[in-house]
Amino acid sequence: MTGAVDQDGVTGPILRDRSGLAAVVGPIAWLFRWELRLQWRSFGRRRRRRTSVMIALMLVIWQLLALGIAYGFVRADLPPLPPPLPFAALTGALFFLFLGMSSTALDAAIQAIYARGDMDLLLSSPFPRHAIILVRVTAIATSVCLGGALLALPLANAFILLGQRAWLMAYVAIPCLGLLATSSGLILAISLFRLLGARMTRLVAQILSALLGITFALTAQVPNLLRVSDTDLPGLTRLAEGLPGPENIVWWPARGALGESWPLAGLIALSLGCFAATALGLAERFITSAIAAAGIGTGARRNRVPAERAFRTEPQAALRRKEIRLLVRDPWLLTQIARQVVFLLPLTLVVWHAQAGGSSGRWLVLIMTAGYMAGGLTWLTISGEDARDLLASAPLTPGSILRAKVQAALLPVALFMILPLMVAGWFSLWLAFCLAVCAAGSAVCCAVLNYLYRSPARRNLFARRGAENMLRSMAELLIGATWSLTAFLMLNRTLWALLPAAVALLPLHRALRRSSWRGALPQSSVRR
Amino acid sequence: MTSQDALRITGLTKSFDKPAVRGLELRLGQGEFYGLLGPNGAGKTTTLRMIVGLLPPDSGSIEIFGVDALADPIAAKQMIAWLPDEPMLYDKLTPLEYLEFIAGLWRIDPRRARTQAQFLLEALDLWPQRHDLCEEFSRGMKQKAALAGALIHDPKLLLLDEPLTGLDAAIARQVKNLLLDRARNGCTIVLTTHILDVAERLVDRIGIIQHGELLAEGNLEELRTRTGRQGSSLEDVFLHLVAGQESVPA
Repeated sequence: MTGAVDQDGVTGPILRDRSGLAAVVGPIAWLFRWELRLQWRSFGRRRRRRTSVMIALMLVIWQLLALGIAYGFVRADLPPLPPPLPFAALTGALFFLFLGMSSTALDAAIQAIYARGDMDLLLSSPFPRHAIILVRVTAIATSVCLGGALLALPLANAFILLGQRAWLMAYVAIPCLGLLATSSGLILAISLFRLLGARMTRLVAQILSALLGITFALTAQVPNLLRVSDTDLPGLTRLAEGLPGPENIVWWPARGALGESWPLAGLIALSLGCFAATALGLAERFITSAIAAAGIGTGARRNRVPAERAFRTEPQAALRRKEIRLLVRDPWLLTQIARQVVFLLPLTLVVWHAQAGGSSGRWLVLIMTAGYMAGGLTWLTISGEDARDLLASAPLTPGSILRAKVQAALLPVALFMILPLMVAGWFSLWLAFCLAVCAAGSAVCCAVLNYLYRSPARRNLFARRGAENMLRSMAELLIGATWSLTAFLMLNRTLWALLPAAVALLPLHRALRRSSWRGALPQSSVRR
Repeated sequence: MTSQDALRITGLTKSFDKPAVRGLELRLGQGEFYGLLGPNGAGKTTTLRMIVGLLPPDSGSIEIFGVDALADPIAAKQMIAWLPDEPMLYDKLTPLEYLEFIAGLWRIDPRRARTQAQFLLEALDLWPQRHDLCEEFSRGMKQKAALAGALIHDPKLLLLDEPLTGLDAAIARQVKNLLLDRARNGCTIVLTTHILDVAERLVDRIGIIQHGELLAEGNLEELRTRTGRQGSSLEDVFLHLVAGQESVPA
């Protein structure tokens, strides 16, 4: 193979004219650059510059926020925690980070096995098989480490800037955790493949990854759930007495992250060893998994044969039924919806602890949840339509199609709300009424918002819905907050409740009148 | 051609950043099997997408069995079926559910739709897989399921964009037989294909389009006469016509 320069300036590998280490490292580095480029492009095809600016902006905001948090901690001059609580707190933080990274790693491993579809091409090239796997696994580890670093390093930077140099060790600990998480993600993916086979693994792994993500969100709330204040010394001492002593091996990762030499050396050795063993030891299985995955469908086979039944062909009902079927047959989508709803949990706990609006105020989070769910489901039914041309060529008005789709999106939200509303009704009928009205308002407004800001997308990009249009996501949260305020004021039986409701409804009503259901489904701009 | 044209296109024009279709004129009679041929980017798919109502033309008119497709798209769509090269399927539906869904969109009587669905799935050898999700299907099976969807409402005008791409010989023959059967029963079919042998054997009349304009139209004999290539294959005639227009400016 000889070298060449492509249009982006990436030079092709020269396998023949080099010798020694360069002959091995050169092609691997070349392929690694391709991997990173493809991963970067998976963020979005057309708006990469905008994405870069958004990421940079968010990073700056997060860094400033982290500086504020760190300054608050340093300035508070808290009393030292009884041992081993500092280790326990740090272990918790590392575990939290590890869960998030493992979720990303499992997702990336499954993506590498199933979705990229370039394994046949790579394996048919004169590249050594192990080099291909090493590059792919290293690219996964890079993305996992980068994700963890973006989340945790701004906080470490803030403490370093305020003079706490021990936090420099985060620059070692996070890559170590990333390598461990990558190894665990790969081992899990390949074990599932061996246990369940190609057909089931993707589904189970995606659900598992979503569950890990949910646990990640829940772990972040442990301090809130425990309700232990950092100034409650007797409580903290009692908590410390129930934990293993500071010398126990369970605290080694935390001690390593704090810069103690032996635990740190152990952490580095463990992470590098695990990663190397996984990358080299599982290479062959990774290849066979990818080859096996290329030859199968993507979902579970339906073993149960339904009874033959008559057709039902009322157009609106047919559309609603289709949307519901597509949703309930995709457990991955259901877990993604659950995952997005779980990210509202921090807000739930803040409201819960703040007792905002009295004891009834705790219910207001349901209104946010209804809105967020409706927004997500409407995105799926309208923006995530798989066969736009089919619907556009059907003898139905765009309005009737879109109305059926919005109805299909709102139906699961209504079902989800029944039980909480019944429980609320058991406490107070007025509470249930206020919740029902405001949850319906929140859900309808979020659905309309997703109708107004629709753009064609594949359903499997649902997890990135928020990043695709951040303004829309912020507006969804704002709508939920506005309807929660309406409910709060309704519970206090004041006519001022009409004001936030009007604020939520009027702009959407005006926008909707302008579009008047005439707009068709979002069409791809492909010119044929 | 019958007294009422199945499809009548007059002065159809569409531009994106450059003209894609330029003043296209086309008349098709009922039951006619018409092949719209042309090199890549000639404007074939854009034309079909305008007929089916997926793209609004810049100017011109489209009439389907006397119905103005631009003024009354719902009535026009009721008579049309469109089958693009990429099957418009839902992975998480079974073929039977997919056909039930299509029947719903076209408001077909449920009993008639059920009978028709069974007939089509049996004719296309998909009946044993009627309860499997479409995501399990090969490319050919997906194309057959999509074809069944296009035929379930008994369209009077069938628009097929590269329907045989990627199909193996056996499946391609099944599809061709089904299409010929439909044409014999009065369905007007417009087919685009790059497989000129197929066009030569299937269609009654051929239109060759390039740079958005109709270069030539007629049956194979008429095209041979026009190009002075008696006894030549459609491929020769096509290449001769297209090569003669290569210098046409965009």
